[in-house]
Amino acid sequence: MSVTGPKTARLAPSNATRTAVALGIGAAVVIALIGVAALTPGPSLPTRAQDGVTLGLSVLIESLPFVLLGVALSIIVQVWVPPGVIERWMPRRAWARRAVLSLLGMLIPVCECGNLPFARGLMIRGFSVPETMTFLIAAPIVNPIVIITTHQAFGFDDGILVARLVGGYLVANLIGWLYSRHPDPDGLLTDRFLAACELAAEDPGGKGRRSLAQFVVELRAVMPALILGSAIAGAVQVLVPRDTLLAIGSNPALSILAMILLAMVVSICSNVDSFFALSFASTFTPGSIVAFLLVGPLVDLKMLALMRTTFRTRVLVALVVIVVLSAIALGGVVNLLA
Amino acid sequence: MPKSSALVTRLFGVGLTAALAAITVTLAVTGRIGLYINPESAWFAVGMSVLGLIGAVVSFALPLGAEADHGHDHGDVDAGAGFGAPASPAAGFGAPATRAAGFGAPATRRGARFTPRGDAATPSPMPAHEHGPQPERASAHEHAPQPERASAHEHGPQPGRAHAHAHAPQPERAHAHAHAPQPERASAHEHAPHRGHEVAAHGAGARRLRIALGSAAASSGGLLATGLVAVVLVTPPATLSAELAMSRDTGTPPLFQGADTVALATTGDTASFGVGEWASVFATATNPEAFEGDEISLTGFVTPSSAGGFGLTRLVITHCVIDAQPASVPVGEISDVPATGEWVTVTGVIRDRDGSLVVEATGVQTVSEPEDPYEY
Repeated sequence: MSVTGPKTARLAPSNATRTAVALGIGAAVVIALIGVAALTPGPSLPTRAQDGVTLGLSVLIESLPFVLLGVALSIIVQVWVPPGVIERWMPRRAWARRAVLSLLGMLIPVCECGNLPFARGLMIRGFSVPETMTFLIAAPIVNPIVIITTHQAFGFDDGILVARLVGGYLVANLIGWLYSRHPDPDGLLTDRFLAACELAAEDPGGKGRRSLAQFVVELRAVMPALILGSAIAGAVQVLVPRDTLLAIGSNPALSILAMILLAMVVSICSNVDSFFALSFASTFTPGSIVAFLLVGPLVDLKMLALMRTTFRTRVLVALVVIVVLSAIALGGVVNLLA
Repeated sequence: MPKSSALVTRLFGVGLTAALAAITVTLAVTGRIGLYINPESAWFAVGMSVLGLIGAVVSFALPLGAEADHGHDHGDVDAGAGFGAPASPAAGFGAPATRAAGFGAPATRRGARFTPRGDAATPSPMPAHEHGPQPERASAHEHAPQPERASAHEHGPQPGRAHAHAHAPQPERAHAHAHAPQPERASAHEHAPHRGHEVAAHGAGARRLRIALGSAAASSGGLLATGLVAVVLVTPPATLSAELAMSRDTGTPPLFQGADTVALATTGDTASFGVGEWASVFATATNPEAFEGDEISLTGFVTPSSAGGFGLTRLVITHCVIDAQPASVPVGEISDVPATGEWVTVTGVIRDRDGSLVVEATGVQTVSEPEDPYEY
């Protein structure tokens, strides 16, 4: 962390010692945590509970690095990128801005859990709510890693890759356009997030200090939601028998609904969900695979828990309805064509 | 912000992150990360976790509560105040007409912001001109909420609005004139009454209640999350159970390996094949007779089979165990079937039984669970 002028000015000399002591305590706490994790003194759990814990923890281990990356990008965009640099090359028209923002994922390949902290950073920086939503919805799909893995899994078979990309892009812009007509965009946000925006806005001090404060505040907002979302995803996996979900099989209409439900339940990262979907490709219709690949990154359980930190519940309900209806429509079209 | 709530902020944010990052790093160091995610992608998880731990240590240098040391209770902030910061980007954007609604509020607030320090507003157009964006921001940061609160609580929304109207155009113009002052100003006027209306309609009491409920929910969520992480921290890592593998068996084999595996198999180079690869071959081979007599030695766990004998099963993972799919190879009739879930090494020969392949076991040996229980 760089120490900038105002900060050093404010710090008395003795504060250097205090900082060193604080860092020492921090290191001790972290080492203690690693020690506990390594020793794992606790007993084993009953089989089913243990499976739930294992699944939930694997979602966490998988998504934590992306969340941290998202927080880092969010700090960069809020604190380190000078005002006006991003804005300068953004188009003026609202729809064009949204169209560009929904391609931002191509430059910032963070999968969906990292997108949320980054999107919060964009809003704190001053991007409007509908614009940020457009980014948030599009980026997990219109994203180089996702394109590569989807291509690895499906090639260009049945137009699954194209339908996923075009679908994600269109749904994102549809949602952005719908919410751009909302009379009170701030009313879509939770009070807690608005308070966080204000905090970020007025926090004094140097860039290093502001970065740290942002690190603390963003993690406070995101981590409990991420953990609860992962826990729910893990629990649902061991409690809801998968074969009932899949018994619906290859019926063109029902299979789409089944795969949408599966996508919302399993909460797999969009970077890799195509490999998961591939194993269903033999029994399920291509349209249902597209629906799975479209719904999963946007509104799965883990993502909804994360988005709830920032958006009001009624916004999330509307998002789920729009995304699911779009996925059904797109899946139906793919099934008709394929 | 009281110390206790600042402590809670640290615990639920940096604390939980550090705990999970510590778990990730520990698993990687002890070679058990493969129980949760594909080791091939572990470098990213571990690298970011190390950075997260460093961030956690450094965050101790930030005095407790410094992330919020602006000395007032957020509960009272007007909903729009959060967008105090955007004021500066708004000036940069030139605020096209459609966006104006979003930025109307900041414009208003910015006008209001200068009221208490009347000297700053008129004599020196300090913000944008001389020093560009940086000081501009600073001013936005320090003072934005101040007048807003004043307006909401001391004299009620209406007088506050009046201030806003009186002063908004002046500074706003100073910032935005290069691009589009007109829509910006217009929006300030059209938006302000709306907010006033909102405040009047909801009332401060209802608003405070909602915030209280919100933060109560957030705290209990944080507590629950902390409890879960504590459980995870002290329980030893475990492999998914055979029961789970069975409940995930949809009757269709996983197709991760795809056609090239089957093609590879026909050329006879099957030495590196695990249960996953063989399951793909068994399910998709169009020329089963080509595999008749191939000798194999495979390790997996036992699952029941309807066709007599048992299934030799492994969970196959692409990225992390949440996407684990069972792959199973049928082992033909043998006299004593091992208990379900038991790990065994089967040696035997592949037989073609009327077009479907089975393993004819010559030896079934009970083994302990391997270090890497999954295939990738």
